[in-house]
Amino acid sequence: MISADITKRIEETINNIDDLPTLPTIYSQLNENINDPKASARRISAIIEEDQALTAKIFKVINSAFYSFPQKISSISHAVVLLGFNEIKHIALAVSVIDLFGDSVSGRRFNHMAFWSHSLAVAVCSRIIAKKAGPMLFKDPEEVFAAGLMHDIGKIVEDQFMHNDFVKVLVAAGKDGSLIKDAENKILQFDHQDTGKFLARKWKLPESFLQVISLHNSPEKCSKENKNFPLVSAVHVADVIVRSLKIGYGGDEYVPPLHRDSWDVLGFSKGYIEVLMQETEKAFDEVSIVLTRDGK
Amino acid sequence: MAIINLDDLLPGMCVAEAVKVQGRVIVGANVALTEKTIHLFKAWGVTEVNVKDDSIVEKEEPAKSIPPNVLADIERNIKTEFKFFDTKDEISVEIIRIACKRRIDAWSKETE
Repeated sequence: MISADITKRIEETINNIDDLPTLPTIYSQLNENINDPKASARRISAIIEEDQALTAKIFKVINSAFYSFPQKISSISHAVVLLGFNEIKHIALAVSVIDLFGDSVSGRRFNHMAFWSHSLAVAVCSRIIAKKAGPMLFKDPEEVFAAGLMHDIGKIVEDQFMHNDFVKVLVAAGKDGSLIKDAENKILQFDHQDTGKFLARKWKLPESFLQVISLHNSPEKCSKENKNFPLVSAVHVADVIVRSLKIGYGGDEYVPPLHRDSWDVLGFSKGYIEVLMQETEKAFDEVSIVLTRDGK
Repeated sequence: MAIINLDDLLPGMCVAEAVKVQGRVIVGANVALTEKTIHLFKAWGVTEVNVKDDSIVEKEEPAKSIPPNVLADIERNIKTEFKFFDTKDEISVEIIRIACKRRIDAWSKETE
């Protein structure tokens, strides 16, 4: 638990960042309209289609091998009907976040391209976990994908807006052989889970996202009775799997320890680990072509 | 469950969903495969079968001798990367085992 002083410091730091990216208004528009009991596929499609660049990217994603629909989807209204309102909103959110922070900054100690590879692989693995675990635990696999993509968003905020302190963290993690979270707590007295949570709150993301962002490295702090425990657990397990596969870079060289309750809540057998690793690698190859900046 | 190609099926794998040909069940769910049933699939033109994850066994590749120094490097790296893992937990141990196996496989492929 971080102290009130530290909480205030993070809040002030985040609030004082003038050029902190804001989520496109389309996300809040979609949210408002989806919550309206009179929401229609036509209205939701019209909101998305107003943003042509976003629409084009959504088509690329949903027509990729990752989604493997039997036929090509060429209208947003078709996509909305096939996927559902919330699912399409979460795809729009994922695409928007990569656009906001996805620019690779060369020459940085913290390699942004490798960071996004890690985030995308966690998103992909989280979605595979959600699909495998089924609708009793996860009603919307796209929510799990978007939450997985954003789990480490605090690291990119720290690198872009608290750069000097963040470099000290990376150096300390390398020198001490520690997890980035522990190095952050030692040097900053908070970690990327805290900064990420503040950004998510500022962006008015739902509570489920806040919990994934603030607890993915410490799911033991999330009660098993909490309705978001399976979501936090899916992203936690995905993070462990992706680190084991060495896809991308998360700021340190170590695989974070697996929280056993998080594995157990998903209901998978030991034999599934290898299958999950194979499916993650394959799906990551399919989706990274269309969702990274190079694939634009 | 995992869909396995006919060529990768091995005796002992357990069928997760009944295998049907022209609407007729030729092998029911929960049945362990034998050489004979795999042969039968071939004869019926079955190309893939849904099998239970727990029963998946990998085809034994002829072991390629890996130089002791390469193996030692892989083991040292694995030990470092997974140093925060609970080695008393069976799921954690399995993740480490598979990660190690994959690195050895990757080395073997690279040197082919």
